Amino acid sequence: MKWLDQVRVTVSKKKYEKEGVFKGAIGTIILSEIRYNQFEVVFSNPDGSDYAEIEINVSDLELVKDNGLSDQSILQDLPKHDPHWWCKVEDGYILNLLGEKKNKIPYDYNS
Amino acid sequence: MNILELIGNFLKLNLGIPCDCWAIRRSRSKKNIETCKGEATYDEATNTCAHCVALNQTIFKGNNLPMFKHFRCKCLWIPTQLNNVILDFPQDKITKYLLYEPNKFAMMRSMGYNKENANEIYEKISKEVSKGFLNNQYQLKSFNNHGQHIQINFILDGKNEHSHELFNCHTGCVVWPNGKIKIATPLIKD
Repeated sequence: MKWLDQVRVTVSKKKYEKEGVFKGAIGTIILSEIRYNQFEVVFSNPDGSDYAEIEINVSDLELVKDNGLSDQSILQDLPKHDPHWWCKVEDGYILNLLGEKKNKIPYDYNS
Repeated sequence: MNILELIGNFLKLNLGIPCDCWAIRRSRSKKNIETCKGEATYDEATNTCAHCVALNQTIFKGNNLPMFKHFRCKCLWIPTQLNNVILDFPQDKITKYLLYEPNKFAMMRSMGYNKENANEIYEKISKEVSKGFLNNQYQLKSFNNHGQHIQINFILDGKNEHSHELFNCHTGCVVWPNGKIKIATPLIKD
């Protein structure tokens, strides 16, 4: 999972639902950097208007459609174009563009 | 600005009185929302909370700034100048999202825009965001770990079969340090 990928919310949580985002909602990761193990995801209506733009835990998301963006493209959106920013989730690990892993145990993003 | 004006503005800013000058927020921390490694966190060295780090060195108009403060907050608003903004706005936001994601592309088509208009849309959004922010025509929105979000409204001319129409639109942005604006959601038709 990474910037501009389409993702689906896999859980029901009050903090998402109060913003109008329910389990099964599909949105787009709109900001490239992961902060506090969260992506900022935007959810839009069929007419293109947005009904929510909120932070979602990476553990509460699954990939729907890979946008196919390269690491070079992601780097353009990262703060100060710094490859140290955590920005991808692959096989249960939060990664940066240098291939470094944030968590020690796969799918345990706080490890 | 003379010294008396400066002092007056400083007092107004930090007493929560609206003031028609630009203001930069300063905490004791050297960290800000662009700081590595990975997130704007609590700064142990200066005992600055993560939210104050996220707002550190951001610039707003003195009568339109986030009033975030907490007990024993040491952050101050300092009068400053802002003549230009720096946009953080990769072209992929247009080519790989606005003119690519099905709902967004349908929205752009409904205003007469197509993939060959990517550059034009990019330039338009860039110009409107810069102008909107510098003219204090932004609305404060949510404040979260990713920073202070704002909305800038503008009118977009329709194209092709919609060339006789005008559309109310807006862009969602995040205010970053030192006059930088990061564009989050590039264009939404209202």
